[in-house]
Amino acid sequence: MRMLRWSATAAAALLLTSLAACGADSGNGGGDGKTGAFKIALIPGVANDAYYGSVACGVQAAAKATGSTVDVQAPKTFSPTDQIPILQAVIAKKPDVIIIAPTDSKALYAPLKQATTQGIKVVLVDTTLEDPSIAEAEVSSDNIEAGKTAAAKLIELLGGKSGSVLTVNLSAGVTTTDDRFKGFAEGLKATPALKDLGQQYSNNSVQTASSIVSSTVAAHPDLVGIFSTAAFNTEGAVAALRARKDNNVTIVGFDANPPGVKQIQDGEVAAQVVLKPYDEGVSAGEQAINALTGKPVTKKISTGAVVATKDNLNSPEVQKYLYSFTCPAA
Amino acid sequence: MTTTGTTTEAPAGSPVRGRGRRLLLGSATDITAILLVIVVIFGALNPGAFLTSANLINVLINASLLIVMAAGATFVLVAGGVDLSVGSVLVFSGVIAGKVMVAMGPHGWAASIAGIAVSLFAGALWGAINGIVITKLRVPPLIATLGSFGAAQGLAQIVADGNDLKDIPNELIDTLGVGRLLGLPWLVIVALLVALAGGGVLAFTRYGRRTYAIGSNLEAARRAGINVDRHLISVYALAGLLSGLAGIMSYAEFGSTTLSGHSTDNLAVIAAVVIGGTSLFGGIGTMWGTLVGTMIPAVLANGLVIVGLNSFWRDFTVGVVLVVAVYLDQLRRRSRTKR
Repeated sequence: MRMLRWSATAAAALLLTSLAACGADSGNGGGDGKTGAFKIALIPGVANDAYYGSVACGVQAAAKATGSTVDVQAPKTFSPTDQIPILQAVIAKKPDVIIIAPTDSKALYAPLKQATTQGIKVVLVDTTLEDPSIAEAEVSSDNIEAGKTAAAKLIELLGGKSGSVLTVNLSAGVTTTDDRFKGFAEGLKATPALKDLGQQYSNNSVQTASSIVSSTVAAHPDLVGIFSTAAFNTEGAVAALRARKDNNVTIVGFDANPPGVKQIQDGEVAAQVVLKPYDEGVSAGEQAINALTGKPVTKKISTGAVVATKDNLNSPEVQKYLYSFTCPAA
Repeated sequence: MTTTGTTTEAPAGSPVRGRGRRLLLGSATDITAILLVIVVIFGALNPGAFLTSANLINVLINASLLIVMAAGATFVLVAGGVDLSVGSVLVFSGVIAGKVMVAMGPHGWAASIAGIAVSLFAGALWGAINGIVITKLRVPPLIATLGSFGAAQGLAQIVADGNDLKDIPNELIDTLGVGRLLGLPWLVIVALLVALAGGGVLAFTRYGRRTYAIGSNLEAARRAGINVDRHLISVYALAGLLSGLAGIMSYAEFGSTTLSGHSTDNLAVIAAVVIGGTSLFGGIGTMWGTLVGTMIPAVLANGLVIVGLNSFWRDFTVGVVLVVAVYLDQLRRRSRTKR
């Protein structure tokens, strides 16, 4: 019996050793010792998200130019409780620069300050801090502008039709999606034929988004357009309209995740506003390297948006920006 | 390369059969050896990054919330129960404390102390409700605390209106949140004090012995004259109180109520307690084991990132360690019944 116990303990230890050993191999694989090559650590907001996949592609593209290596460590959920332990472990490895999408504008400040006091440079990508002064640069998307783009596209698609327009938003207090609505509402004002019904919150639930849309269609038979600020909302809106077999409502969605692209191909969504995470990544990578090599750094960069429709979906200009884990060939 | 070193390492530390050692470690001897092995491996692979005091203190900081909650869960599991509500109660307590502190200030010592008190009270209240539902309404602990897991999270979001609160007195951030005493962060000091006090109560007091007795055989404990219902309610209230403490610690540490950041804390806590040798069937367990069981995932999360593996490997390795720990527990159980 004792034998069995110890062999089990030993087996567990062995497993760990081999795991850790192979990790060490891949960790030290490249980058060390070369002059001009830097160790870049990238910490996205959450794992398994195609948006951050594209950000990582951009950073890698920028790093390649100088022969630097990029180590990507993503938290399981979009939350400071998962992100901070990862950040601290990354700090202990002493990379030259940390590129991070902070999951909380306040909670990440103290741990990032720890990094800068140890001489590690910090670049913020996509999201930012309440007090971004410790960062070398912040790169983000202009969501107000993207909202205006969405409004312009919807007005164009409706081509002079009149009626009501609804916005399905995520949840109160999310700055990115709130900005999208702000820009959209502003863009819509110019066209008095379209009546803005304002926004409804789905709280990131497909079911809620779907019920919001079906009840709005019932209450406002003149509904002609829907602006959805996030992928889940678009799925809900599409489901609600599909159930009603309603073809009078034009949807303009947000984000070009793989399902979002399919919605365009199937004609369920007329257009998707696509941010440029790839450009965010490239800019963040470039500014990080500028900061390390002592070149001038642009403190604040914002990247724009493109609109994907069925017509331009296959054009290289749009293809480049569809969110994906597979990086486009440089 | 390190393989030979570690396999000889494991047996070296353990076949100690001294009475004192067994009282202290109980069933946690194997798992303590595993933790030491893990530390040695990471230390050997990258001593410059892993074995610095700053890094080890960070590991402790990241484990401190779980240590506090796991101390409470040790009592619950030893008493033969289970508590799935801890992470939600943490969030709920933080939100209520946050609202009270905003109403009172939002800065200053008075608001800070009121916040701590309210957080503890809110947590203890949820715990007491859990205990009453389990003992008086006879709802099984798994279901009762699964219910309060959802209810506390939902209520927290209603009160906070879905937005994280971020107004917290600077006094609280500067002390409990990021402050240090003699180089040790307050978060770690509080967590270790809780573990120490909890361990003392569990091992040496009548309250602790009654908890073991109820977990071993509830009916026998009842017939021996223990007021089982009252004791169980107090155990759940204690677990809730400690979740409340973790709630104010979390708020002070992150400067935000982190509404969505604690949804899997309950499983992490139960895994930690069980890895530490506490039996899911009650009656067996030590606070030392729980401490070690909490540190293993924390060390893995840190070390795997440092050696360059994706942090997802932590989930995998913690899963394996959990099963191995329970397997060892089963072996011990079988060998004891044979004798």
